[in-house]
Amino acid sequence: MTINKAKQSLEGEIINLDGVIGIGIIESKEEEFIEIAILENHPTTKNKILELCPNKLWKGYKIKVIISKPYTT
Amino acid sequence: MNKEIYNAKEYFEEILFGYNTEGLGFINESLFDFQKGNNSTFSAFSNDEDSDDILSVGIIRDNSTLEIGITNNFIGASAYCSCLKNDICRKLMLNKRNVNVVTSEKYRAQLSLKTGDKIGHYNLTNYGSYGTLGFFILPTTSDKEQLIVSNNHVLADTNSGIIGDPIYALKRPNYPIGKLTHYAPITNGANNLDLAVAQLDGFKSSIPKGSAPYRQGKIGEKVYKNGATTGKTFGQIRSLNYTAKIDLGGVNAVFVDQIQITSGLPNNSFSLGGDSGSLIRSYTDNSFLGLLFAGNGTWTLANQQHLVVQQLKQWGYQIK
Repeated sequence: MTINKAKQSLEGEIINLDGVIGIGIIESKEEEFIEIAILENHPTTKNKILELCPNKLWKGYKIKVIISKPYTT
Repeated sequence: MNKEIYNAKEYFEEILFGYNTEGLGFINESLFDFQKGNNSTFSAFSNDEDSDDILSVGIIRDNSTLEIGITNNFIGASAYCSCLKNDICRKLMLNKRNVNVVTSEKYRAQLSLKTGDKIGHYNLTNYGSYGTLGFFILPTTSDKEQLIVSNNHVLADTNSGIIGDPIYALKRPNYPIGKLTHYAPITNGANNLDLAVAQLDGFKSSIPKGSAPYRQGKIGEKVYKNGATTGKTFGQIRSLNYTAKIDLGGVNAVFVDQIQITSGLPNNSFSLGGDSGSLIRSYTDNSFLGLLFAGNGTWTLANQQHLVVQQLKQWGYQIK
């Protein structure tokens, strides 16, 4: 499974969780991972994501959960 | 002769500025003479107690000629000019060679629009809010005015706008610059675009000519934008298929397949509120890469260029 497909399937699982505001593939020379951005003060959401991704892996790809400010237009 | 000309100029300036109401009666006499001479019972020219039809007064040709500009909004304007000229010369005792009455278009304040200007649907601009003029596009046919591109939430107030609604620029708050012509609705499902187009009213001469290439951005690519709030800022593409929930005034909308940009300078935002609608360009070759629509102070989001171009083409606009 490609990282794009993995990101897509993870998105389907968590996008509706309260506090999740972003999911993206982050690439650098050193690494490639799926980043999940959540709002502050949503520990339950963070725990659910970590339960869903044991060892911080999803379909074999590394995930990182970060705290982010909300996006506005 | 110069003194008489200057006196006459002063006389017409008073009419122009509305201080000389007696002069208006004299102009109406000329209009009456003109209508009588032409057996005309109809005229779109009106001079009822106002001076709107006198547009300009000036002394030209080495101080030898008084030129009076009047509106050309009535039938037989040039014939009326002759009647008026005769009356002016008779009343002010001037030689006919020293008076010119000419018809003219109304003067309008010159306003040039440029990318990065503060614009918006009247629901925004009425409250001092605004977005950014992203770029210009060509109309479907050459007889129409040019168009401007920005976000739905800027030009259509997030789906609230109705096609034909007036669009304003903050530098000319009293008159609309154009009207809303198209927008891509933002839905409760997955969205790709926050895009809208407005047609300009009478800005043909101020539109820059030329075209910009567009292409897919690359991870790590250096970019810049020119936004209405933060001006020109530089950044770097962090992700090319970012999915984000955006707070649209209390309603969350999900946007997929977006470009995520991080600031090029520490502690500096690439964008802030009001920069929405800015064009994201490549720092290396100026190519159009995306259309800015959201941010959180740390990261900025932009619609992918190919989706913007595809939608504009579907609406029938010419994209070079």
